[in-house]
Amino acid sequence: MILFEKVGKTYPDGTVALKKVDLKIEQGEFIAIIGLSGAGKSTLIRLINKMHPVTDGKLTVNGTVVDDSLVGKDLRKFRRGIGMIFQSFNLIGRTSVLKNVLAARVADIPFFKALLGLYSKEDKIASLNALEQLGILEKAYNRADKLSGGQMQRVALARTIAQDPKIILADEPVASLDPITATQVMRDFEKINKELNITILANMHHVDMALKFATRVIGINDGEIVYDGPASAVDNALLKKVYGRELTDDDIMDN
Amino acid sequence: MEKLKDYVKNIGKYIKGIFIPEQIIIQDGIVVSPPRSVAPYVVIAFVFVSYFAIQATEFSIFEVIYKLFGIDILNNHFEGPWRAMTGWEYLSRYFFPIDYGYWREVISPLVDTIQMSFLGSFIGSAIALPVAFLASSNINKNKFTLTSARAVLTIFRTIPMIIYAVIFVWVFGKNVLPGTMAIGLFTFSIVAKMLFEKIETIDLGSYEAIESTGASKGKSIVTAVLPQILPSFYSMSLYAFEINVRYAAILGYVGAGGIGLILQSNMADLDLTNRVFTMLFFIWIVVISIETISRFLRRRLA
Amino acid sequence: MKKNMKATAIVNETLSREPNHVLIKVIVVSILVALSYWSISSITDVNFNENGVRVARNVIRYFFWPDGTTDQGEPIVLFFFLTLESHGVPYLMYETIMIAFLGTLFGAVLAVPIAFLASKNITGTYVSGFGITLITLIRTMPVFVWAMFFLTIASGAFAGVLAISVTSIGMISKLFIEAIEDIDKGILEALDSTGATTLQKIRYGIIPQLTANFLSTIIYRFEINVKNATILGLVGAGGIGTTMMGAIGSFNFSLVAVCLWGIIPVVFVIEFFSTKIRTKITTGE
Ligand SMILES: Nc1ncnc2c1ncn2[C@@H]1O[C@H](COP(=O)(O)OP(=O)(O)O)[C@@H](O)[C@H]1O
Ligand SMILES: [Mg+2]
Repeated sequence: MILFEKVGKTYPDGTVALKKVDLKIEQGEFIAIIGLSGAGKSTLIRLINKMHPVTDGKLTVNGTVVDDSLVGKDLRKFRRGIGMIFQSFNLIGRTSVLKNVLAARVADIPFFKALLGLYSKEDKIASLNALEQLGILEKAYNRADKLSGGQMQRVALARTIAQDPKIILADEPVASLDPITATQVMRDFEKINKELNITILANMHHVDMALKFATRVIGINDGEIVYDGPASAVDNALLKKVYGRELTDDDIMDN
Repeated sequence: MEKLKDYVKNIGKYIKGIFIPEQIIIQDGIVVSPPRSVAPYVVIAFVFVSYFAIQATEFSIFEVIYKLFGIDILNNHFEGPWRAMTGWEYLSRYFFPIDYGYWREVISPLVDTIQMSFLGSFIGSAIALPVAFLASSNINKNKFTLTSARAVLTIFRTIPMIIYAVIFVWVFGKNVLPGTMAIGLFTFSIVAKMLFEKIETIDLGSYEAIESTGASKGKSIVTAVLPQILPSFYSMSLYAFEINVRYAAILGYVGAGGIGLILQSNMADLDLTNRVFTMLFFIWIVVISIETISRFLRRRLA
Repeated sequence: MKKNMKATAIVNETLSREPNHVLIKVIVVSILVALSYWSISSITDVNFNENGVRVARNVIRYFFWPDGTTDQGEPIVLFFFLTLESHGVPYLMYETIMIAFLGTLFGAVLAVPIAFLASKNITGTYVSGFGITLITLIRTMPVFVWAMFFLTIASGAFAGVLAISVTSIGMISKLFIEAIEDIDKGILEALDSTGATTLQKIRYGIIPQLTANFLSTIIYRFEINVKNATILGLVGAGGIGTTMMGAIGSFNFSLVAVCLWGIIPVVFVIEFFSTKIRTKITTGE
């Protein structure tokens, strides 16, 4: 369970990105976070695994209070339970797909093994299983930077699954993919959510995608939550509240 | 004649045209002025600096003529140890007849030179790898260690290698160790510099991704960043090795081991200079071979 | 989707296909270890003594605090560093830079005929092969050897200029050869294309690109040449190296230090601007 209690975030340069956010997220939910660019979606997501520290209020993730005292080893152990997916995939270039997935397990092996790239057989099997679950097992020994965008995001997803997380945070996971590939990747998210009961929080730029796959939608405008409820209850009036304007074609992804 | 007059009349205009390009009138009286070129100013600056440079370096073609042929055109009375001989006589006595048999004595110091270069390049590069991360502003967020690492690299890099060699000879005596250490220090400073510049250009997204899985900073670096820079690192190390072989050949000049040691004694003694060609030939063979191997490997890495 | 860690047949099959680079790694590591071992074996006769430690300590101390004096009792810093006279470090650095400047300039001039000689399309396979061999031969000789050679026909800084000119030829002529071979292609293309004349092609197609490469190469070569010019004094070919090597010979640590005080900032500034300008040229502002 993720619990936000009056959480606020002010960046060191004084930018107030989030104000008094209250949220309660149960295990296994599929949540889409929508809002204009600069609304604070990425900030919200990055607070959860402390890529950015919370500056106000209290954030609890699966019983761990994410505050300034969560550092070093404890922080790293905490992060192992949380996967992260990025818009630009963030794969390791010049290395194979399998090595990319194995990288998710580097947190658990000694430094010299990480340095020499020595992984155990179990790690390899777990990584190959993850690749198989996403249907790209045959690319295991290809170079990751020679794949298509959709395949890259699948590798990133496989990497996250190999990490065996309770929560996956996805920051605009399909924003740089074409509509058809985006839908396929969203299906993968849906599958992972249903079959592995992993909580998914995904920032979405495209509203229709968000409504189609998520069970719950959170709308953010200027650092504040303006909507939090089931995807089925989202209507145009609400969207206007979130976006502060009528939607344009740009906000909808045809498919 | 008319043409010449015309030319003289317009000479001012031509000169002005060099500095301020003439405006071009396209149709309908639209005037376009081409961008001013900096080239003429650069040329003037070059001529100006060259004048001072020639003075400062006492550059004189007459000296060469005098030393080569014994003809003092402007009666400059050039100083020179070989006033009695013309340069050709001198040169021929200097290098000929070539002492072919000398190669036996060249081999051992030459091998020393290769060994010095290899070991120095190897150790220097190995130390450069971790330090380069310390000196990369995108990886190391600690201002103090970052600045210190960079300052150390800058100082080490700007001090000529031969100075290290001299200092190490003072400390360790005349053998191969000072040369090896000098080469190691130099390699360390240039490879670390090239490498941190490379690291600063790479995309750190994957590093962030691995860190987000709970891996420590060190493990994230070796997993996400290292594979991206290793090929460049190997290539830089080989490149340093290439340069070092050429440099190592002269380190012996100050007693730091290798072929330079005998190069100096042979150059200094007029009766021994006919060995020089034999030595140069072998240096040349070694430099070319190592360069060829290194370039082949570097092409493979690219 | 199952979360168990049991491998299916296809996963097992994929695992067995894992590319194995062990052999090549073992070979490379063995070669490196063998070469290291062989190289270390050459380190013999090390006569490390306490005197050496004292010297090393002095080198570092005087580097930061060069408080030695000249024979006349004048502080070294005052007499050599804070003076504009011709024996002082500022003038010697000026001379050093001028050696590099003139060397680069003449190197560029000398590179032109040699580049023509080594261009396949101008002189044919055999002569150009000879030209390329000549360039390699010139380039691979250490600059010191050239300096020693030129000292026989010129003195001091002048010999330094000649040595630097000759060693600069390699890098610069390589650029010219590429340009010359490019121009040839340009002419061929011009024959079957309409529009621009050959001259226009050269003027607008090749020259601008060549100028950028040319500037970039010249600046880089100048940077290298300044570094070389600082040490040419080792063999008596002018520049600050002459004073510095004299100081080294007489164990005058203070003077060595102030010479380095001259070299370090100058080399750093030149390197800094060289890198800056070259990135600006290649990335187009
Ligand atoms: N590292 C940072 N430092 C300062 N301000 C930031 C930083 N990251 C984001 N911001 C600011 O915080 C606000 C919210 O940004 P973000 O969470 O990235 O929005 P979104 O992901 O919804 O586009 C914006 O005004 C942005 O400029
Ligand atoms: Mg964002």
